[in-house]
Amino acid sequence: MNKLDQLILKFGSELGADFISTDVVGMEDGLSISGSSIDPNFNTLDASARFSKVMELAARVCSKVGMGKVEDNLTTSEKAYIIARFIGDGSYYWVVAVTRNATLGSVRMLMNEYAVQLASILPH
Amino acid sequence: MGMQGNLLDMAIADLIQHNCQDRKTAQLKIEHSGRQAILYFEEGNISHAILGNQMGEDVIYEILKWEEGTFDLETGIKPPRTSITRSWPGLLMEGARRLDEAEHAASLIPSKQNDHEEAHTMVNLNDMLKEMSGEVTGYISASLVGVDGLILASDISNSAEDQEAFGAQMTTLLKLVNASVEKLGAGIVEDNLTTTENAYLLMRLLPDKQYFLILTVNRKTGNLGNMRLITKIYSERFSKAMTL
Repeated sequence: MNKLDQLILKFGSELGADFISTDVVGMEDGLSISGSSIDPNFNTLDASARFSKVMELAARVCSKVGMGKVEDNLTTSEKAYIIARFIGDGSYYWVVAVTRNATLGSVRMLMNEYAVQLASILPH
Repeated sequence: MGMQGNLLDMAIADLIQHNCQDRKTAQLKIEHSGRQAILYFEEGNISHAILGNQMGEDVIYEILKWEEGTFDLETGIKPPRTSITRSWPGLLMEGARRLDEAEHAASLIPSKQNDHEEAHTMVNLNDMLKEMSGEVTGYISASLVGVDGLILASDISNSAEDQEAFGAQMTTLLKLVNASVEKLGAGIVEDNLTTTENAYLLMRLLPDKQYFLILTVNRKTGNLGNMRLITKIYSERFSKAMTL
């Protein structure tokens, strides 16, 4: 298991019972380079490519209206919170899904912490 | 075990929602003007529907027009087959969209009274946006947009052309989010928040899922909890105002 996979697993276990799934995805090809999921009903691979388009479009729209660089995108759905954020120089993004019971502030804080570590080990 | 009732007391959309959310396995017979539709619920979704010679999703879209009639729910009856794979929220959304389209087509018949009522509603929507702006910390701008990308009301000071482009792009973003979340199996989207260097941009769907609110707030002075609470309150209010 490589360093990236280890870090992703460690992140998932720190989130505990609220963790559903996570993926690190290349923005260029929308392909997952590392991920983990505890819920077989969550089709993360397919969704990863789509979320890369979400991040791309969000960045374009926000830039056009002068809101500056996108940091993250949070979707609230019936069953989950889905948080996507760019990593490092923006050539990757990281998407995390947690249950609606999760404390969003804690999840974002943990993501901030791990984002730095992810950026340092991802190839550029 | 079963339940009988009248559609005047409980609409078909509500029957579908309750049975799906309760994850019942059940058969629902609905009678209207001498016609009978039979729906089957299984594990939180509708899996089969019959109406005369028709089967599948089209039955749902047809019966959603029925405002009068009776229903008979029998639990524990499994479907004989599967003719519907779309999720129940997707069915209701598509059904609502088709009803809206039919109503819109009917309303194209010129009517002075319709024009007056429409103008009155638009003024109210703009007033409500202004009222909402006073309750949001760090407020920058807000819009009410249809899922067709057209802006119904807006507090953005840019040109009409820029507003249109913004509404269209945000609609595309919301639809992408919806499709992604559906693929993920995470249920219906309630809202989507983008955090940028300078701002928070929140999109929240109204209860009917045909319109959504966009709220932009200053990153430094805004408060996320306040944004989400106010948009939740006003999405209900906008929804009520548009059905009056």
